[in-house]
Amino acid sequence: MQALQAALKPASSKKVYDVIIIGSGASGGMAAKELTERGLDVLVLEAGPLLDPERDFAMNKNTWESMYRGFGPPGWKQKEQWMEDTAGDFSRSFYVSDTEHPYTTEPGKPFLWVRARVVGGKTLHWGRLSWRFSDLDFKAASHDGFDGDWPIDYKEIAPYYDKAEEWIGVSGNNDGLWWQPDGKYLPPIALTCGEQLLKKGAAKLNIKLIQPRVAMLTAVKPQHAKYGRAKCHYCGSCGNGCTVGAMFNSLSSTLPVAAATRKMTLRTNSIVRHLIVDENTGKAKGVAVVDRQSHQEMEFFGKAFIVAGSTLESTRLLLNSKSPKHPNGIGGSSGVLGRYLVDHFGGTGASGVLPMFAGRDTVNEDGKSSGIFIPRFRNLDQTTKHPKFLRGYGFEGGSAIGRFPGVAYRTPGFGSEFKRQVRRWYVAPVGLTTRAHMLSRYENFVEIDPGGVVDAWGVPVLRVHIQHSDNEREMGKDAAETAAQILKEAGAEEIGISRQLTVPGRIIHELGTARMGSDPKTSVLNKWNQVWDAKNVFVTDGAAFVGAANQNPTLTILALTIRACEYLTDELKRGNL
Amino acid sequence: MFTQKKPATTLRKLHSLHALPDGRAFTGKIEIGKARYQFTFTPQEASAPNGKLTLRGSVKVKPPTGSARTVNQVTASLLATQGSIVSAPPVPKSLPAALQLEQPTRSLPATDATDEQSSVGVLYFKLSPLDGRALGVPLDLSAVQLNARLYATAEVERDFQWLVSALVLAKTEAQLTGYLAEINRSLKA
Repeated sequence: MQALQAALKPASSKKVYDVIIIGSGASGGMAAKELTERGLDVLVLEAGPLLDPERDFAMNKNTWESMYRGFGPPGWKQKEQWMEDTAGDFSRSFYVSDTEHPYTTEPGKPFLWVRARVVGGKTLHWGRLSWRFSDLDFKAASHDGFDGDWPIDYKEIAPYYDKAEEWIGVSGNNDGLWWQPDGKYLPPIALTCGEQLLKKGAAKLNIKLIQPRVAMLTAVKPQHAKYGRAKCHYCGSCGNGCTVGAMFNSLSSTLPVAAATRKMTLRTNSIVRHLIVDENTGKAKGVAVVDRQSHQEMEFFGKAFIVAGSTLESTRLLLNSKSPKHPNGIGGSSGVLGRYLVDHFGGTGASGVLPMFAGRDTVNEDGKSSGIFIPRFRNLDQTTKHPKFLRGYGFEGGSAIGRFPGVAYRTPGFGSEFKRQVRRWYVAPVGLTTRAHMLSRYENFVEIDPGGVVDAWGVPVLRVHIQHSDNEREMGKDAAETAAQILKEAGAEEIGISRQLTVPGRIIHELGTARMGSDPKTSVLNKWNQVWDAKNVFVTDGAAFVGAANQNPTLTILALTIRACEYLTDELKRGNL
Repeated sequence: MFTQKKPATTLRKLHSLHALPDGRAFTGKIEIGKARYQFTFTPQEASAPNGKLTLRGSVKVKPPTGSARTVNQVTASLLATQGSIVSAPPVPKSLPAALQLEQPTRSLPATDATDEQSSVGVLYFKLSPLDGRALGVPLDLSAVQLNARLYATAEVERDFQWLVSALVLAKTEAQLTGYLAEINRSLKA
């Protein structure tokens, strides 16, 4: 933290930085590390504050130490952070207040947008699952004919996946599945007894269940030790902030590297209104910024720009960067800027109890915070082709005793018999929930709100248009039924099936809207994450995605960022930007 | 549209103001440093020119010290909405049968908070220009956006949320007129 504090030096409006990075989350943090290590002088602009883990993280705080047992004062969430679905009383400071950060949606087509304006962004509380995409994902269109392929293939990005995994530290197994490529892993986290039963149940249906690949240190390598990161001690409070650096986040893993080079200036509370365009060249030359606290307006200048404010904030920034040279915003010439918004969907699945565990002694099973993963098993080839939908889904889930006895909600009665029943069954939970591919469709898009709605700083906000198609609904139906089958085969009882799809955005895997491609007429970015229309602007977060696949996207964001930074540095040195 | 520099103003501009339902009014606060000004917008009449909801009513501001000041005939014109992500409030008990919504039938799974479960979570209004000095607020209030978060905790608030949602989602002129009449009835009750 001391190194990071030292990077909080005043930014200069007179200087021309080599690169200005907008955002300090997974992509922005990695970009800062990669570019400063290559000797570039970097200004990182973060819209939120810098938190102090020792003071602001609640990793070691127990719910009984909180007045409302960790739930927060009645109504706070609905009044202040109603869209911040994963925010809890202990993690509120990681998330924006929805009172200041509006966005609009069409009636009847809601979108849940979780945002983190804080140094480190959503890496402070992310789910940590770190999966590679394969050519089944990068070349999905060649596989089934829908939409277009990515402009890269697995072979091109594999070395960058290696780099990302080795740096952030991912625990997991090499499972030998061609569609779920293996990587460079730390020792895996063991399955619980109930998860072993789930694995056997899935195997009876010829479905593979594997240990999750999570960005948590199960062993400390020299590159982790150098920056003070420690091995996970399984406290299970990952979402409240990890003070020991066991979980990958920008604060512990990438920004300290950039700070140590002394090549990074970090300016917090810096809301970027738009990119300033050089009207002679069409390239960006600076950023217009408003200070979150003082509301003071300022400008900073750079030779190149990494836009990494998170998927939709990045696209909002590009759309708001209108000028005579870019009347539809930077990257807007193709007409697809803002288009092809996707999110994974969940909600469908099944849960129950494993009767063989009823009444057993409690043990620490939720501390590992990892569960299980069932990789995609539909539409891998002709033999697994599903007649009613394209692409596929996986399952997350597990069987672990948790701190909160969720079974109490479903247990009838009251008094001592109720408590006895809750104690008997809360040690035996089992559940699966879907993580599914949503097709990238042109009609799901964002635009600058045509009604003129602005945020608390007067910056025009997004209007989001998104809804599921029958492909997602058919997939959700199949997923709910299959989840119940797996649970049944595992020996579960009292199986409840969830059949409703989560509202778009709830999985917090919003992707697309500034897609990469091979043709400037149909994409915003080229294969190097470089804006076709302004070659010194790179968009390196989830906005660049062509499709969602069904795997968690952060590892791919990190790999693409490393690759883009390598290219940017070379091009800058050659004078091509 | 292409201006990239904001003009300097002597008073800081208040871009938006968050408010919550309080019966038939919306209340919020304006914070300037440590000073808090209590803000209340009380709509008295609703209309829908070109299908867009407009509320007309009074704005009252109570400064940290001293008495409250009120401005009448303030209009709040709906700019846009934010769809709620939780289930819609129950249908108002007094809703005429002709305005009830049909329940769809479906064979495939639904998505949370869509179709018959839809409702509006936030109404974003543009207030007609306010004179900060007249209200005792040292800010430029010439173009304030009222972010009315429909977090309903009382029946009158739930009814308003349901009616406003139905109005925003109205597919026919008859529905729009009907819901508007119900909103006006509710504001005057």
